[in-house]
Amino acid sequence: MLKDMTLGQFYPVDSVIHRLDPRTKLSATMLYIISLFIANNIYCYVAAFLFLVFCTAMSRVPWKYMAKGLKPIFYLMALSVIFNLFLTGGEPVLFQWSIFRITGPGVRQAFFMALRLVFLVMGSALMTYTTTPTSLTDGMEKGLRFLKVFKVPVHEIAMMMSIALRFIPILAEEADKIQKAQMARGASFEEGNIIQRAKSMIPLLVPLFISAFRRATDLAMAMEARCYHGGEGRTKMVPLRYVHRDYLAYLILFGYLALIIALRIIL
Amino acid sequence: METHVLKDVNLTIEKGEFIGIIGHTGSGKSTLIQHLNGLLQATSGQVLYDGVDIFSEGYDRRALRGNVGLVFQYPEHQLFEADVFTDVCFGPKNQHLSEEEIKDRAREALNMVGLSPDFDKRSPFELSGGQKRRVAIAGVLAMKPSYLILDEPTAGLDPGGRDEILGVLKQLHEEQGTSVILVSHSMEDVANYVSRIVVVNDGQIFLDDVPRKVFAHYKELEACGLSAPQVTYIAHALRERGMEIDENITTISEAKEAILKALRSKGSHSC
Amino acid sequence: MGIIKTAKLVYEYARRDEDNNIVETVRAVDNVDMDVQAGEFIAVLGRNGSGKSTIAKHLNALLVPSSGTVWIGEMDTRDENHLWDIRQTAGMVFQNPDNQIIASVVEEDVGFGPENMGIPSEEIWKRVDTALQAVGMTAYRKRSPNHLSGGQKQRIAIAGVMAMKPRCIVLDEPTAMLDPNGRKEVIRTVHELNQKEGITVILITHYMEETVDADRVIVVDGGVVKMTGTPREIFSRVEELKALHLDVPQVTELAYELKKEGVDLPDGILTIPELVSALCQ
Repeated sequence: MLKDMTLGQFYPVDSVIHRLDPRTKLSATMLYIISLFIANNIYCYVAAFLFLVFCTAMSRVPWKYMAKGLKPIFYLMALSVIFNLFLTGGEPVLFQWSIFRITGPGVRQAFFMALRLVFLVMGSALMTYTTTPTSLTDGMEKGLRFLKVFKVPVHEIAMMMSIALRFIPILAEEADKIQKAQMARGASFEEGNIIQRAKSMIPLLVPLFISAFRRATDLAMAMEARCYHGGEGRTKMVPLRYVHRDYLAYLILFGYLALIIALRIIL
Repeated sequence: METHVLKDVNLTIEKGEFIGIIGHTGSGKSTLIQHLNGLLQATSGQVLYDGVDIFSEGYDRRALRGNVGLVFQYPEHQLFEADVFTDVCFGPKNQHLSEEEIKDRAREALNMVGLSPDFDKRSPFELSGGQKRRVAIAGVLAMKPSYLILDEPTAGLDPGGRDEILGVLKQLHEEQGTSVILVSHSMEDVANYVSRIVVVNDGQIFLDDVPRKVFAHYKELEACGLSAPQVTYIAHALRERGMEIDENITTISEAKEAILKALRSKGSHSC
Repeated sequence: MGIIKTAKLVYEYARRDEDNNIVETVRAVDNVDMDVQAGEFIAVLGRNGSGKSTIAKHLNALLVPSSGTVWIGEMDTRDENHLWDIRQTAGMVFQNPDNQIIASVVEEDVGFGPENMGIPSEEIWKRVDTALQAVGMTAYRKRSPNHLSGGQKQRIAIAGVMAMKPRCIVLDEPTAMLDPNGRKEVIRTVHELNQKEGITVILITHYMEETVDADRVIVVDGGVVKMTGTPREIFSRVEELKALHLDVPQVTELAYELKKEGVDLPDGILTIPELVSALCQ
């Protein structure tokens, strides 16, 4: 059901990772991704793997659930492996057939690239599994507050994101309803060439846009009636505050990053 | 876990009937009607139109949707063309009729819902709520369905708008012989118009009978989250006080006649 | 002076054609005088397009009068310095339950108003608890609004207003999109707030049966106040109401019809027991 659609697929258990400040988790994800791009040898990847295992174990999100996140990127991964495998030059040549050639560095590159992608996706999935969309937007709002100096409307962007989170399932359901209603009037959405198909979307898209605009007007009025006047002077029900576990998490995180850098330089 | 939205539904609708399908929100009534024109396919069981399974090999479900017109709740939300007339043409156009025929049907449908040619070139988005809804209903009528199903056609309308829409349906039923299937949760609306009521509860057909017999079960209806028209309760309350009055009363005029009769035969000692 | 007062309230807007030229000036509200005392339950009745919603929007300073004055708790709605105080004093609940819930979790939505008002966090939680309790939705506080029924969503919207601690709630057709059970649920909640918390209620509706228990009914048509009085006074004028395309409850209509036939009944019968005991003296 579209009603049950959630963005980011939060996995509702209680764990240390779940309880971390969203800003901590956002920075951690960012740093983890950076670490993956610093990594250039097998030891670095082993370290990155162990770190991911450690975090996942702490988060109590089942491995099966984590692996599910990999499905959509399977083709992307396959593509990147093939490209790296065949298009990397160098010595020694392991296999040659007409213009196709596999080299030692190619195998290495393809293997690392695959690992990098898997870790990257699993790492960011872990964040979305352990953080509710609302606290994620809260975290972004507060964590990126410094951007206000550069006239970036951080509060407004965060508010827009949380409103989008609430209305995407509603609009998806509405789209389904309009589509059915037009089908009841004999419309077909699966016939003809691309141009005909695009044209057949008009009876769906026009009402959907009109509805979205109507909802936006209503919502704006409702927000005004409830004294909304931007981020100025606004308080929070759940103010974000770093506690001990966040500082500890940052400590572990920087330790991990230092290790990766060290492994890259030394080995 | 498997959940049934509908379960063991056996229902036959004849040509020319005016039926009310009643159930509270989430009873499965909206799901039920989407099966009738093949928008949804039953997990098990069949839907037959004129004796033919609508999901049999090669069945033309698009033609079926012209015969079994379905008007969704808040149908004005599907309007999309720049003017009223073009919007109403959308259905017949999908039936691949001739240009002439499409225009005739659109005009006829607009006449039926009481919108004069003055409305043809107006934008549907600047009409009043009740007018928009009539345009949307005309959009389905223009396909000339033999059966017309409407999901909560009076939702959100004021009493005037409600009477207008129900009046259109009544006229359609009487003059064109169209079968009308009215889905509603308002017993009072339905009681005045239909000749048969199907009560849906928990995805099953709970009652299927003429209005007066259905409302006689007013206590069970309450258990389904529904209620009989207020006059039915009045009749029962009067009977409890000893007035000799038919308990199966569903409309105000019936109640008036019955009470007057009781009063006249027994004078003021009727209770 | 009452908590809400309007004097000669007029609201006009210009209808424009595609080239933005003024076609005509529409007078949506015409010389409306209202005086609502604290703790009253007022029902404003009228068909679609009668101007009742336009009046409602003036009570929350979402619209300001073209001429005339609106005072909310003795503050003139045209005074922009008091804008937030006015919106805090007279909270507003709208028709479409989906389009007024902002957050994806019930309790966060209820806290939205107080957050905007800059209330400290601990106080917000207290207010959210109390407001959810008042509308009987505490059990749903962690839920997503998308999984609630229409009536429940409206109760959340009411809780969202209650958390702002208003003295008055204006409900603009809160039941128009609900099923009969949802409608009863919302009306019951509003009456409870009126009785237990002493909140002044302005209920705007086109459903007659919802106005039966109001202290006073104001009937609006064409932007003008056509009738005002207790429900009993209003409902005894069946013909006038019908002329305004409004219904009366079936029991009232039946009593009226019987009276026309010469049955001796009092005016403006509103409930079944009233009719039954009047017929069976």
